[in-house]
Amino acid sequence: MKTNAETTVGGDKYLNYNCWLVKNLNYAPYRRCQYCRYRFRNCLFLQYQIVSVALAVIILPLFFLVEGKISALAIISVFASITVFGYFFNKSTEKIIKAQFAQEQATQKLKELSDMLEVKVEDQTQDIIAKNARLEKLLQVRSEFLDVASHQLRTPVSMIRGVLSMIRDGDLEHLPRDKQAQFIENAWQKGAKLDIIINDILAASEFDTQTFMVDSHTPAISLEDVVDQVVKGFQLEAERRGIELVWRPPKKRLPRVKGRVNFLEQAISNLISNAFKYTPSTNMVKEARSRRDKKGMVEVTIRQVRQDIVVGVSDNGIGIPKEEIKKLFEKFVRASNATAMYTDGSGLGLFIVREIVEGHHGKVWAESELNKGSTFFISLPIASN
Amino acid sequence: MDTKLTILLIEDDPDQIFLYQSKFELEGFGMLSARYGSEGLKLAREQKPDIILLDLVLIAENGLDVLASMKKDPLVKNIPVMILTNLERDDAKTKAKELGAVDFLTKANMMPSDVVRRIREILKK
Repeated sequence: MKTNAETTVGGDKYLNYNCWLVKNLNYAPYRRCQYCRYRFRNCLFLQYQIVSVALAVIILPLFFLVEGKISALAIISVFASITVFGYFFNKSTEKIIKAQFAQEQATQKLKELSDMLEVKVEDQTQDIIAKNARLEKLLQVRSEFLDVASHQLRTPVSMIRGVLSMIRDGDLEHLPRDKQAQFIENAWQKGAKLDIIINDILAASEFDTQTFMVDSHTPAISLEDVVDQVVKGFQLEAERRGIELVWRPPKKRLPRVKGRVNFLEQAISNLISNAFKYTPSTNMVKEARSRRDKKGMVEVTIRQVRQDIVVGVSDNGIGIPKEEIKKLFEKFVRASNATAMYTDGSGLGLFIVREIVEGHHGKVWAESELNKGSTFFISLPIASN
Repeated sequence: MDTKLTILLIEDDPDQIFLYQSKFELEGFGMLSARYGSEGLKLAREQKPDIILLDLVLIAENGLDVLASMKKDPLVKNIPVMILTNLERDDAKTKAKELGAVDFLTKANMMPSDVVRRIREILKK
């Protein structure tokens, strides 16, 4: 087994397994070998030995030829030349080997750096791409928002101005009385609608820029009182639409929740007015009504579930395809089966509900069955004392 | 003019149909109206109105698609189509002109009397 120290070039225990000597003796013969990765046949030490032998082979016969014998001087001079040669050889080859090692290390470091740089650049590129995509999405949402918002705002304005212009031009005088009344009523209704749409858009843009949150100063309030008020406000509308609006107050008082009455009122009324919109009624557009004959019913409940107060708003309307429920809380999203119905809302109702409820540390969700109806829930945590 | 000119209005909002229909009838036009693109196309084929007013935002439909299919229909393609909408977008305007709409009116800026004037101008040509 090769240990880590044995394979680390430049380390004390480094063994060059390319080297025949090392492989057989399992030991680096010289310190400088810890920097060397040569095979034995390329070993500079081996070259030194060969040159040394060559020196002996050349010098000794030379002496023999000149002096006729091998004198002590001859042997000493062979040893001396081998020693001098060895000294310079050692010095130069050690430098070469160490320089090679240093270069190798530098190259290695450079490679690591460039790898790291590559990873970094790749990371940053990915980051830029993601940011770009987000920005594009934002721009697209913004332009969608402007498209929808301007269309939704212009529609009631154009109706009101249209009716007023006909009054100014004296056109209305030529119409029968019931038509005149209808004109005024339409303009009036569109005025009310305009007010709602403007409020929704203002609220939504506010939620966009700053998350609305409850804090330690937020008062504890009774959610059932809030619901009670909202439901009362909808009774007339329910009668007008021929929808049965059922409110089941709790038998005993429920614990309070932290919240702001006006925001929670808005959230609950958005849910009830949605329920009205998608529930069969006498005034419903004919294409939706023709699909069903049963009487429209909207039911509002409240109950305590562990540490939460849960408000439910159920209807027996057209329902929502399961995979689309989550998306409905986005801006301007309507379920695919709802686009076949004409509505002139702001497209922001459920988005506003979600922003308000999440700002109250609560949850909002929906359960639904196609053609049976939907229930939207708001759950808010009970205020701690 | 001797014969009564007929307008086909394709518009999803019944309140607006009521508004324009009343105005156009007061001005002596014959009126047809449809709330869906397909219904409008059928009426155009059968009744051959003199001019079509088309909204771009329809129930589950894009008015531009309706316009495109009108211009492909040999029975309908020669009837002038005027866009009457609240969708004021340059790309929609360009696309509508490309598809052959004769005019692009924004409801919030054009009162019913202005619309009548434009219709008369176009039908005179």
